[in-house]
Amino acid sequence: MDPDRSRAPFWTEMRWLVAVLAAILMLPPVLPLLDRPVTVFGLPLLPVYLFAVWAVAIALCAIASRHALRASGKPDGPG
Amino acid sequence: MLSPALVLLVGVAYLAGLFVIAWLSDRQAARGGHAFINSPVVYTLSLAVYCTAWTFYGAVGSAVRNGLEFLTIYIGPTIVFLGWWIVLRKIVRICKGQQITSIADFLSARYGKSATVSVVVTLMAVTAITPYIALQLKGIATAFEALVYADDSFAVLRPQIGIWADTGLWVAIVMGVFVVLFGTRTLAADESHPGVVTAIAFESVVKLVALMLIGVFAVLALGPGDPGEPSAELAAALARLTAISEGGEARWAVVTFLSAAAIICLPRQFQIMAVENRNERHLATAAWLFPLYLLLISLFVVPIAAAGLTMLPATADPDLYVLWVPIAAGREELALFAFIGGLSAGTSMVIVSSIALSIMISNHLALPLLLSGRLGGRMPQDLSRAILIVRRLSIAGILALGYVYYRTATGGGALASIGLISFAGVAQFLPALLGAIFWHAANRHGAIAGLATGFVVWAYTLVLPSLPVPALEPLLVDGPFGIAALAPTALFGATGWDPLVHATFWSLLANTAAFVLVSVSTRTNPIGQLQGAIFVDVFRRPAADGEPVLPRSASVEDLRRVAERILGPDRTRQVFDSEAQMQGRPGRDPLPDAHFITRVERALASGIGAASARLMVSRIVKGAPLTVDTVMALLDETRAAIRYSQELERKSAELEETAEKLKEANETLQRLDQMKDDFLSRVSHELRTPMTSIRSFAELLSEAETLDTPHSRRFIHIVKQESQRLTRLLDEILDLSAMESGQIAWHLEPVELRDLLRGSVDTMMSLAERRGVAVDLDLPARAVWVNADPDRLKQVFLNLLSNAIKFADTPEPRVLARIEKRAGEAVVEVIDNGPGVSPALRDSLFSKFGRDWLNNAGDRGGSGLGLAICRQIAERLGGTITLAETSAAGSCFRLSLPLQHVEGRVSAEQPAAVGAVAARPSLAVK
Repeated sequence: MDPDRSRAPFWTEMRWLVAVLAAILMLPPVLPLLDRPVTVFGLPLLPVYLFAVWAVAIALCAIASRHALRASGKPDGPG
Repeated sequence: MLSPALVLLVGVAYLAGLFVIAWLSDRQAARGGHAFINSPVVYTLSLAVYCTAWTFYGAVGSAVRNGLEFLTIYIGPTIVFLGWWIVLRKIVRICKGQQITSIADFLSARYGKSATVSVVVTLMAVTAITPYIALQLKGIATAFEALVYADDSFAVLRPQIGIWADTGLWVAIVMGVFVVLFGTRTLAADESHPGVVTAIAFESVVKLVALMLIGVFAVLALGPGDPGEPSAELAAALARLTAISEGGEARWAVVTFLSAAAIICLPRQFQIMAVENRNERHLATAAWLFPLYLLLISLFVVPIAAAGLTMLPATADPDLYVLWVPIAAGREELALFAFIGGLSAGTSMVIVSSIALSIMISNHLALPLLLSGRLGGRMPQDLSRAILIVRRLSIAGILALGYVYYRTATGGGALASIGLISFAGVAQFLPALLGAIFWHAANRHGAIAGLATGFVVWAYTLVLPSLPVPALEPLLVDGPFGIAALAPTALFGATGWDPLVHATFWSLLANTAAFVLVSVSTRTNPIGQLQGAIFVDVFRRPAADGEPVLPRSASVEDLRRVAERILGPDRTRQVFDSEAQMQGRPGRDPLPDAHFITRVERALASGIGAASARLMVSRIVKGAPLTVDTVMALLDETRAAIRYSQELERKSAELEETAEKLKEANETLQRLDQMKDDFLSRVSHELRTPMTSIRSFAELLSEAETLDTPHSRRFIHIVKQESQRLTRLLDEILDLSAMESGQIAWHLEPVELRDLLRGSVDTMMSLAERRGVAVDLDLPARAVWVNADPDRLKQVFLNLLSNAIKFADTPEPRVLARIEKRAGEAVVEVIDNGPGVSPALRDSLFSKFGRDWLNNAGDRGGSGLGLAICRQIAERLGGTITLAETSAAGSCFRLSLPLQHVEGRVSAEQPAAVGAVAARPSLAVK
């Protein structure tokens, strides 16, 4: 079996995880925990954290949608 | 400061460039070259029309006022796009299938092609978006004034200017011309505008590059390579910019939610995302590329704000820091570039919004009036030109409305607050929109109730308090007629809430509640049920089946007449020819079947909206009146088709599985068959050997009379021995097959293993002594009971012992037989110090069909079936027999049997225990 095809379900599951985790990590119950006067490389913690979560989510989503596009050939079916 | 002429010149040159790009791109598309516009990157960039002048100038201002909250405007859309396949893909798929032209058309088509729904949505959209357009005009005009009229302390000394010198007016006029030229040139099949989309994508690049350039410049101006030791001023500015303001968590959540709703519900986003979408696959790329664009455009907001706070006087308007930071550093050309960036952000929003709104106004407000004849006058036969004129007038109307709002109402409010009021307004579409694609029971009445309620509460709690009218002051404080519970900013005693949180909460709560309650308590009309099934089940329907269509008929002439009136002769010919092609009758008229009527209606809908198209078609079609029964039958058919295709899928998966199993079974059978053949040929061979020798000796005896007595005695002895061997072999084969077929009667009773093993060893003692083998017994002190047939079990013991004795050919041969109790089982082991079982033999040791059994066993005087019989007996008694260990130092055969818990020998007389075991299905029959 083609290895990419067998990995497609993994990324199908992953994209749920990415969307849900990004929403949780960038909303209030979590955010105020990081709103404190700490600096990372001289930069305030909160924006560094937000942009880091954002960038990682984008990267994971990019990989997942590449797999989705390759696996589907054409986008069809509920998946 | 910069000279007005220079700024004007650059601005006009930029807008002229935009016209050229749009014109070139339209021309390329007309020639069939779609390569550029068909790229997912262009699609993503055109989606960035989301980032308006509000983003470009207002984000920095918002950072100065509210800290990091400006990020929520980008986080909401990011989350929606990360989950693109949940909502966005479904909307895009439906829009392409139904030739939807706008969000009003989408909702109207879903809710029974209801004209009321489309009118309500259109009015709401115009109300919510007009201030937003005004905001863009204001942003551009303010930026122009900031560049031209600001003094050295960054206070804008705006001269009293007449209307003709107002930048906002000229921007509105130029935009109007642009949209009329490129947005309403023709009535396209799918309401797409390649020229506009390309221009918007270009503008998105310009504004991103401009903002990032200013950002990099701000970073360089702030800290020249010394991030470890920021000045106290800068540290204070950073702390202010990167905090969440006191009690800002609620606002954070609400603005994130509103912006997530806006990216779907804003008419311009819906236009670009769904209506202008050329390929559903583009969405998968935009899913990450668009969030990346948002990340990049918000990355430098904090540095620019920090630079503004440290370099500019405290009185300077933070909404203009993007322009003034370069000026304060003496880089006027950068400021000019920033102005272009802001201009691109503002104009792109105005262009797409006015196209989207004009389509809605002309399709859902103007054309229905025109078609019903209520506007008076004679209706022209070819409506396609009239439609375009209506569109152009709508565009002019929208821009005029925006301009009037900008001149009269946008006095003081900061950019961000006006934008958020619009967001909260379009968020009222969200319940009806999500219900449209996920909820079968949602209907027209619920949608209208929800939309209207949400709209009223939104206007009352958010728009009203924002109006700069002093007469409203008592109403705002004390509530209408002095009823404090109805005060617009503190409904039902919710005092102290942030106004935006307050309004969003109450309006969406009322909206959703009305939508759900009215939907479940009213009946859906037939067409609404049909459309609901088409929308909600769009992914469940097999692509090949198409969608359910109403059974209708009409004449080709009528269809052509109606189509030509709306679409014009060219588009009509296209539609009719391609249908004829599909029906397999090229060159002739297509048959006016139900499918074709639906297709014509959809083509009409792309020009005049679903509600009007339905009205026009219903005038010419014949057929049974649309009843609930018709639609239910239709839906049942569709559901049956869906179920059938799912059933097929499941069946084919099952078939595949069965085929796999069959293949395996077949392989096993073939292997067994092969083994059986081997066995038969070897048995025949083995039977032949004694038979041959018996026959030859018998012949000798009968023919040679002179044979002396000792010889003949010896021959007779051999004949006797060979017949015994033959009999033994046949006995064992019969025994085994009888056991396998379950023909042997088993006499199960409690058996004491120690006695049985001792007896077996005694039996084998003579053979052992003859061979010089020492046999030891290791027995437990207490009795070990199992339920077994004692004769059969003894047969197993004898077989194991005789094998061990026969094969023990080492100098000091020893055999140990022992019994142990282990975990509810009685374990009997027979251990020898013989040469061990050869590896080739191990696998098939207990199999009667084993490959080499005769080669090894036969010459030791056994039939080679002994172990196969042992296994049959062990399994029949519910136990196992294994070769536990084997090596050059000896082997260990292990028989495990389930223990029987009995009290003394009394149990021997308990027939129940025997019966229970005997009742078990025979293991030999497998």
